[in-house]
Amino acid sequence: MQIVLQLLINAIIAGSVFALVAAGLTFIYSTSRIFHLAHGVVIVFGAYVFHWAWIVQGWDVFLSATLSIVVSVLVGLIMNEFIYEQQRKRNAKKLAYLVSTTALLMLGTSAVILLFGSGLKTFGIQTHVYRFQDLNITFMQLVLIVVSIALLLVLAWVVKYTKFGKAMRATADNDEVAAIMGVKTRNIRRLSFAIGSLLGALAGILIGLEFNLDPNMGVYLAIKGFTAMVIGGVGSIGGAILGAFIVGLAEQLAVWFFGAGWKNSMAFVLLFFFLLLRPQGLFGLKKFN
Amino acid sequence: MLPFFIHVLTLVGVYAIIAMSFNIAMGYTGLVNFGHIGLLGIGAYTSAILTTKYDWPFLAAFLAAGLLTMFFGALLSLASKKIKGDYFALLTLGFMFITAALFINWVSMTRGTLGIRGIARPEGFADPLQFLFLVAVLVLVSYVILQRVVDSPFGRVLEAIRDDDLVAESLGKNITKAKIVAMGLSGFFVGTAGSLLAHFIRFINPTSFWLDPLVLALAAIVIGGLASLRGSILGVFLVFLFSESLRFLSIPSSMIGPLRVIIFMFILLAIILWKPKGILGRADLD
Repeated sequence: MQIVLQLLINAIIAGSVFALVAAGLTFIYSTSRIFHLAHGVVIVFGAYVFHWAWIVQGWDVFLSATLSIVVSVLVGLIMNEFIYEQQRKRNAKKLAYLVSTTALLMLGTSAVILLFGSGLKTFGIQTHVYRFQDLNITFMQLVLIVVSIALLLVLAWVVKYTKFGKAMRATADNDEVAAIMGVKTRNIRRLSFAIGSLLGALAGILIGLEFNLDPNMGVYLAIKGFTAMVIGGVGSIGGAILGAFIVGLAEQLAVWFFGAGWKNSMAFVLLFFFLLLRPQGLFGLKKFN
Repeated sequence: MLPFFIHVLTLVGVYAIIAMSFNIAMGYTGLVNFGHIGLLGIGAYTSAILTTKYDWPFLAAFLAAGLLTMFFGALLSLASKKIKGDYFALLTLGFMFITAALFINWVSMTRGTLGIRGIARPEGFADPLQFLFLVAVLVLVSYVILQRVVDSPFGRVLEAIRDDDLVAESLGKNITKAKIVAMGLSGFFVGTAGSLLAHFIRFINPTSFWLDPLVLALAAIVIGGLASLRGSILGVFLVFLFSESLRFLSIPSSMIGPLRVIIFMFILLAIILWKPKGILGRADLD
């Protein structure tokens, strides 16, 4: 029983990270229709800058977090502005976006290796451990879960009730019609990339606090984020969050039943069955497929 | 110096087969198969395991590798019937992750992260120069076969599928069958390339079939041009020429790997932005 509960807690912690990634990707994908795999590297940048500022330079933790968010948002915006928007001007095909996002992912990963080294990085910070009977949960884990959920709730509210949210949904629905009706779709895309990258930086910070940093983790994160998005239903933030927790749980179950080596494959098994049997996901609309 | 050239040229040959078969799926048929390197790994491991563990002769293992990857390639194409575009790319990337997990975790067969050592060169081709000759002949054979395929009416069906599969289907072409054949063909050749790679390097481990070869193959076919087999060969040449000449600059060796990837990816992005057809390509990325 205790092992099941601990497994559940681990699943919730991993799920919170994936939820931030998946929600960020939902913003980006629904407005730009770009399969932004390079989002993984935005997250990795956030995590490494945070580590560098806080641990290596010894700066204040909030200053470090702010710096990490600023860098991630800049990286995301630069990718959008100098690559994707340029391609959009030429009416590029989906294939071209796939090649360019893969190139950006690899480019960013190698840049992180050059700047920060290829070894694993740990924060080595032990925060207070709360014990509930025999279950362990650290203070950082609690912060991680609370911050993720609070932020995502705020964003879900923004999308639903603000003018920006309305414009965003219009762009996601049909960007040509939205543009004709006076929505500045290009700015909406920029804002989506900024919000998505901000969420990515937070995911990176929380990963750093919770797990080790590895420059190659970007590709896994992006893929798990997309899987969560597909499971929940493309375009729905609530769905993406639910999908993220499903991915987190499936991974923990894979570790339990098959061993840690199969953890990263689990997301794909889920993805495969969802794409095959329920491509619109749990809450999604058919038009995205 | 000469052994080094022979080594690099052999790799160029093997990668030429990898790139040409990649181009059949991606450039001609428009199926973004990120699992191509997973297929390469399956071919390499099949051939290595059959020759080292079960003492199969090289030729039998070579063909078995090709046939098995042909099967997996065809299987992936079946998924493309329902799962299209970006989602197919995501799914095939997943295929690569699963093959990598298989190579690491199926220790009794693959020896896990230790990799398989002592894979023998085929009899009569033990000398690097002889092996280079073998590879050169196989590149030529692969090129001739694949070029004939893409020049045939069937090749035009594939390009029609890439440009607009709905139109191809409404003209009465069986696109499911065409995709199966294309991916099977692509799978067969990349499997044989995997077998060659294993018997050339004589050592394989799971990291040999990870993102690095994917980057190389992708850069080669985009630089050389999509939907051009000669372009793929040229692309592989240029990519190797470039990456091997970096060796002669005085850069610390730990930085060469990432630096190489960064430069390739910059070239790739530049081509996508300013010359989307690559050098010899015909398929448009716009």
